[in-house]
Amino acid sequence: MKQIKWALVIASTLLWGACTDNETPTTEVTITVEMPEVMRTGTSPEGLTIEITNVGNGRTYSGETDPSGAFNSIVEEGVYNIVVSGEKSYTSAIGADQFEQTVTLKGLVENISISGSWMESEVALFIAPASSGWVFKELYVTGSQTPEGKSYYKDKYFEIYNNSNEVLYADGLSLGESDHTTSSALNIWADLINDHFVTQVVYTVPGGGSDYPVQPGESIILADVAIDHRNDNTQSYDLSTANFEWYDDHVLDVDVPEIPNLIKNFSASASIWTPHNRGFKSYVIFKPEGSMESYLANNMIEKQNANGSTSIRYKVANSIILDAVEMGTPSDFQSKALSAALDLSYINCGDGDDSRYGKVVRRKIQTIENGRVIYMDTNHSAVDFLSTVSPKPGVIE
Amino acid sequence: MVAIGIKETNQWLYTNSEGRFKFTTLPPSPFSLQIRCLGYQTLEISIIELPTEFQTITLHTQNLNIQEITVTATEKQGESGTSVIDQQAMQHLQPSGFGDLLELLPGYRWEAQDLSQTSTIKLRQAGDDANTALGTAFYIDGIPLTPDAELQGNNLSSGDLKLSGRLNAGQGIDLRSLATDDIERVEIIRGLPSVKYGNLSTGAVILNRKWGASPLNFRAKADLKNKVLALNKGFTLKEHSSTLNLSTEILSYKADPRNPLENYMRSQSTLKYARNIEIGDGSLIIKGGLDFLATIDREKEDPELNYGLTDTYKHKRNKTGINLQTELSLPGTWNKNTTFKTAVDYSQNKLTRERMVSLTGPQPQPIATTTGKSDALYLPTQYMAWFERDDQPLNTFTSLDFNLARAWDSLRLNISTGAEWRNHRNLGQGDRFDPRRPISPGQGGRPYNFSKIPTLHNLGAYIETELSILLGKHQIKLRPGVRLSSMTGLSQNYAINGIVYDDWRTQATYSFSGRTLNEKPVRFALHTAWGQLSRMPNMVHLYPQEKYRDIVELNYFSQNPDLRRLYVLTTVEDVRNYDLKPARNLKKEIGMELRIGTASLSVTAFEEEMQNGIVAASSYKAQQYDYYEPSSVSPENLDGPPALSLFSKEVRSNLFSYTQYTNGATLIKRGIEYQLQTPKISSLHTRISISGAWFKTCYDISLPEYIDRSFYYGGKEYPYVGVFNTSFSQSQDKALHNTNLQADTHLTQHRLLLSLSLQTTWYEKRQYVPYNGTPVAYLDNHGIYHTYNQADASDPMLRLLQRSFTPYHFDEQKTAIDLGINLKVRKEIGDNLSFAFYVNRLLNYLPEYQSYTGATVIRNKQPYFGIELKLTI
Repeated sequence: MKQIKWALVIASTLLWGACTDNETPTTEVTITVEMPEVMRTGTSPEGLTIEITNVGNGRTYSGETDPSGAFNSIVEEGVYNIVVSGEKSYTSAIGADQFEQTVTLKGLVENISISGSWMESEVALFIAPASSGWVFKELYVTGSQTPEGKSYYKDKYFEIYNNSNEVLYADGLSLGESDHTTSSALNIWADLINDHFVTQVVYTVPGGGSDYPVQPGESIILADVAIDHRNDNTQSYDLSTANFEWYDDHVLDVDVPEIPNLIKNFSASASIWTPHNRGFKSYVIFKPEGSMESYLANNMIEKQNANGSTSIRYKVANSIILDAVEMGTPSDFQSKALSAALDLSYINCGDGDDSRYGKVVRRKIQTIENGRVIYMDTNHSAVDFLSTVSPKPGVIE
Repeated sequence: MVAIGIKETNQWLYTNSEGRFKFTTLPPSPFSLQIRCLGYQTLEISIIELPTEFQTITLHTQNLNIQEITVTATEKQGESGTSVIDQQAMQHLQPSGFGDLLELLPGYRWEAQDLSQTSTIKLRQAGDDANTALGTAFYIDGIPLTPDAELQGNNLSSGDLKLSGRLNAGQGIDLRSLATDDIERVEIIRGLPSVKYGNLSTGAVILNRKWGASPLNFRAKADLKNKVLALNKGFTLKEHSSTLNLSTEILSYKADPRNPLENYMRSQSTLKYARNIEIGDGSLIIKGGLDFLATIDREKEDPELNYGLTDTYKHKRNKTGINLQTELSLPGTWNKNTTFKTAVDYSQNKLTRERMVSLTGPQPQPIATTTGKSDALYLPTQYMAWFERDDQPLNTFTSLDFNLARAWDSLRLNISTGAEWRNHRNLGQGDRFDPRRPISPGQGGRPYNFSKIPTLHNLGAYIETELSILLGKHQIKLRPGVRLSSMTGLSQNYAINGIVYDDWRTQATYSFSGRTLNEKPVRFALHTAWGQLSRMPNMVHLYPQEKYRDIVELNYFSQNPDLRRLYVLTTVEDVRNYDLKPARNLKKEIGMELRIGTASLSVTAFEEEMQNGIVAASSYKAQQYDYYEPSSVSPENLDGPPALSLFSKEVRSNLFSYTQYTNGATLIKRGIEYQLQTPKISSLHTRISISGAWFKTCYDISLPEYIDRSFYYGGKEYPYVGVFNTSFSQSQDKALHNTNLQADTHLTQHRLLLSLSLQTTWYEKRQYVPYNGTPVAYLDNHGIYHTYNQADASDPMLRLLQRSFTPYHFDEQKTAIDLGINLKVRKEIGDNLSFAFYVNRLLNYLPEYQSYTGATVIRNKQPYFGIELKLTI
C-alpha cells in the first residue's frame, strides 16, 4: 500500500512539474562583467565562466563571456545568484618595473530577481587573494549526541592545514568566529564587510614565531577539550592528539595539561565559548601584521544592543585574513558575514536538524603533488567543501 | 438566621427561629439598620422614627426577578477608595478565580488569566511590582492570609526544575490559590485601610465567606482554558441557633489545550460551623472553620523526548487551615464587642525531580560547604540526579479586639483597640540533593534546610477612634488611629528586631444630605485621608541562603584519569541583610461623591510614596585566589595526582557579584479614579456605568547600579566594574488611562441580564529616566573604589565603562488606543436554574501605530469565551 501511495505522489509531482514547466515565462538575460580597475585596460574579459543559479529550484545555466564580457542566456523567471570566476593574466607596474601576473577573478551578485522578456545585469569582478598556505581543513562546530540523544559538545575542533610547499609556523595564528549569525536577515556590520570581519572571539596560538613549525602537507588541531571523548560518549571522537586547546578559565571548563592552551586574547563572553551548534557562524584564521598588543589596542569596536547597552567586539581587516569559511544552512541562510572576496558562498553541516551531529565540513582534495595533498581553495566554500561528512581529525587523505 | 445590625454603634444580633429580633438599647434616631442574610440582597433601612408596632421586613433573594441589581463594583460609602464586589457582580463575571474580579477596579480591564504562572495583584498603578503585591494584605473572614514563611531556597536552574514563573516567595499572595465560589462579598481597599488592618503597605483585600443556611448550589463553568466545578450548601442545626456550611470547588486549567503535559489544578474544600448563644441581652457567636486547599502545577516530560522514561517531575502543594473566632456583644449605653480570633495554617509544598544528567563534556563539581580550599572531583558525563524541595510553611495568628460604641443625639463615638500576634515558621527540610551529583551542574547550589530558620514573630496593636458629629443636614466624621508593629525573635544582628514602628492614619469625611431632587434623595460627600503603612520583610528576605562562590585554583584534567586533580577555593558569602527595614508607604487622597437616588458619581485623586521598597540588588566583592598553571607540571613523570607545590603559582584577584535584598526601591503612584452610575433607564431597562482611572507610576531604584562588561581581553577578564548612580534598566515612568463603559440591560420579567462592556485603554506609556551613560566610579579587580573622572573617559580601557544608548532609548513609548467589547448574558430559568455565557474581546479596535523605534506595531486579540450553568436546589 505504501509503495502505491508513493508511486502516486511521484507521478502527480511529475505531472505537475511537467505542466508548470511549460507555463513558466522565460527571460532573455544579458550579463556583462566589469573588470577590476587595474585590469580595465589591456585585459580582455573573454572566456570567464558564468554560472546563473535559480535560488528557488537550483537550476543552473552556465557559459562563458564573449569578447565584450557579455553572456546571453534564456532563463525562466525567478530569483538568481550569479557567480563569475576565471583566471586572467595582466601586467602591473611598481615604479619602472613591470610584472606579469596571473590572478583568479571572481564576481558575485546575490538574490537578483530576473523577470520580463529581456533583462540586463552587470557583475563587478575582483581579484581573489592567492592562498596563503594556511587553510581550514575541517570545521567541527555542531558537536555530537550521546547514544541517549543528549547533546555533547566539548568535542568540537578546527583543523588547520599547511596547504603550501614550505614549512609554516603556527605561532600567532588566531581563530575568529563571526559576530553575525547568517540566519538573520540583517548584518549590522554590512557597512564594514568589504574591509573587515567582525569577530566575537580571538584565540591565538602561543609561541615566539618559530615554536610551532608545521610541515607542508601537515595540519594542527585546535580542540575544546583534548581528550579521547569516546570514553565519555561512544558517538564522539579521539582528540587526545590535538595540538592546542581553547581553555576558558571558568568552573564549567577543564584544562588538559598534556596539551598547550591557545591564548584567549578576546572573548565577548566571560563564560565558556563553544562554536555555534547549528553552524550559523563564519570562521576565519588570521595573523595581525604587528604585535597582538597593538592589534587589540586598535581594533576594538562596540556593538549597540537593542536594550540600549553596548558590548565589545573586534574587527579583523580582510587583508590579514589567511582563510575564511562562511557557514549557514539552506533552510536558514539569510545574509553573509564574510565579504564575497573571502568566500563567495557558504557551506552547511546538516540543515539545522539532527543529521548535523557528529559531522563536519571538510575541504575537498584538489590534487596530490609528490604525495602531498593540496586542498581546493577557490574561496568558494560551496565548491571547496564537502558538507556533513564524518570527521577525520588529523587524517590527510 | 438573619444578621441585624445598627451601623452607628456596631451592634449586631441574629433573629430567632421565628425571624424576630429585639434590641434592648437603641441609639437616638436617626440611625441605620442593616440586614444581611446569605442568598438575599443586603438591606439597609434608615430609621427616623421608631415604629410602635410589629413590622415585617421582607428580604429579596438574589436573583434576576428583582428590580434593582448591580453587577459592577460599587464604592463603599464613607470609606477611602474601597470597591465592594457582591455576589451578583461575581456571579455575572463568571470567574475562574479571584484574578478575574480585578477588572472591576477602576483603571483595569479584563485580561486573560494565565494560571500556568503565579499571578499577583496590582493596585492603582501602571505596570506592576513586587512591593505592591507583597504590600497588599488579604483577609479571609478577618484572618490574614500570609505568604511570609514561603521560601524558595537555592538559586538553581529554574528552567530545569520547571519553576520559571512558578516561584512566589517574597512576592505576595498567589491569586491563583483564591477561589470565588465560597465568597459572599469582597472589599478591595485601594485607598487607606483602617489601622485595624496591619502588616501592609499598599491596600487590603477583605474576603467574606458564606456563612448561614442556603440551598444546594452547583456551578459548572468552562472556558477556553478553564473548567470549574463548585458545590456548596448551608445547613441549619439545632433550631436555628447554629449552621454548618460545606463548600468544595475544583479547577483545572490548561495553558494550551493542545499540550496535555502542562496544567494547573486547584481543589478547595471548606467546612464552617457557626453558633449563636444568647447571653441575657447580649450574644456570643462562635465560628469555626476547616479549610483544605491543594494546588498542582504539573508539567510532565514528553515521553518521546525522555530516553528510557528516566526523568520525572512532580510539584504539589497542600494547605490545611483551621480557625476559630468568638465574638461577644454586650449592648448597653456603651455597646461593647469583644472578638477573639485564632487560626493556624500549614502547607506542604513538595517538588521532586529525577533526571538523567548528561553533560556536554567533562566538568568540575565543587562541593565544599564551608569557606576554604579543598580538593573536589570532576563529574562523570552521565549520571542519575535527584532533587527534592520540601517547603512547609506554618503560620499562626491570634488576635483580640475590643470595640466600644455610644451614640448621643448629635454625636457618635466608636473606639476600637486590639492586638495581634503572628507567627511564621517553616518546617520543611528544604532543598535536598546530593551535591556530588547535582541536578543542574555548574549552578553552584548546595542543600539548604528551611527548618533551621528561626520563627518570625510579628506583633501588632492599634487604637482607633471614630467620631461623627451631626449638625442638621451636615455630618462630619473623623477617624484618627495609630498602629504599632514590631518583629521579634530575630537575632540581635538584625536592626529591625524589637523595633516598634508606628503608623498614623487618619480619615475625615464631610457629608451633606437631606435635600431631594425630583423626589430623589441627594447626598454629597467630601473625604480625605492621610496615612502611613508598613510591611515587614518576609522570611525569604531575611534568611536567603548563603551564596557559594567556587573558584577553581587548579584544573588538572590529565588524559590519564589517575593523575587528575581539582583544587577549589570556596567562599560562603552571607548575603543576609541585617539592616533590612520594613517597606513604608505614605498615602494621601482626596475625593468627592454625589448620589442622587440610585445614581452616583465619585472622583478620587491620590498620591502614594514609598522610598524604601525591598529589592534584590547586586553588589561586587573582590576575591583573591591562587592560580596554579596546569602546564607547569608535565604529567609524564607523575604516578598520582600532583602536589600543589610543584606548580608555578600566580596570585590573582577578581570581582564577583552577589545579590542581596535591600530597601532600595522607590515607588511613587499618582492618579485619578472616577466612577459614574446612572439609574436604570426604565424605557431601555438599562443601567450605564462608567469606571476608569488615569495612573502615573514612577519606578526607581535608589541604589548604585553596577555594570560588568564581562569579556576577556589579552588573556584576562576585563578588570573593572562600572558604578552608575541611575538604574537605567529599572528606573522608569509608566502611565495609563483606562475607561470601561458598561451597559447592563435587565429584563426583569424575562429574568435576563445582558451586559455590554466597552473597555478602552486610551494609552499606555513608558519612559526610561534619561541618563548620559557616564559612570560615577568604578571598582577594580582588587575591589578598590575609584572615582571616575574626565581623564578616564579617554583611557583605552576605562572608556569602555561608558554606556551609549540608541538615540530613541529615552524617548517616550506610547501605545495607541486599545478598545475591546465584552459581552455577558445571564438567563434564569425558573428559580433553580441559571445559564450564562460570555465573550470577551468580541470586537476590537486596535489601530496600528509606530513604536518609538520607528517600527509599525500590528496588534491582534482573539475572542475569549466561556459558558456557565448554575443549579440551586
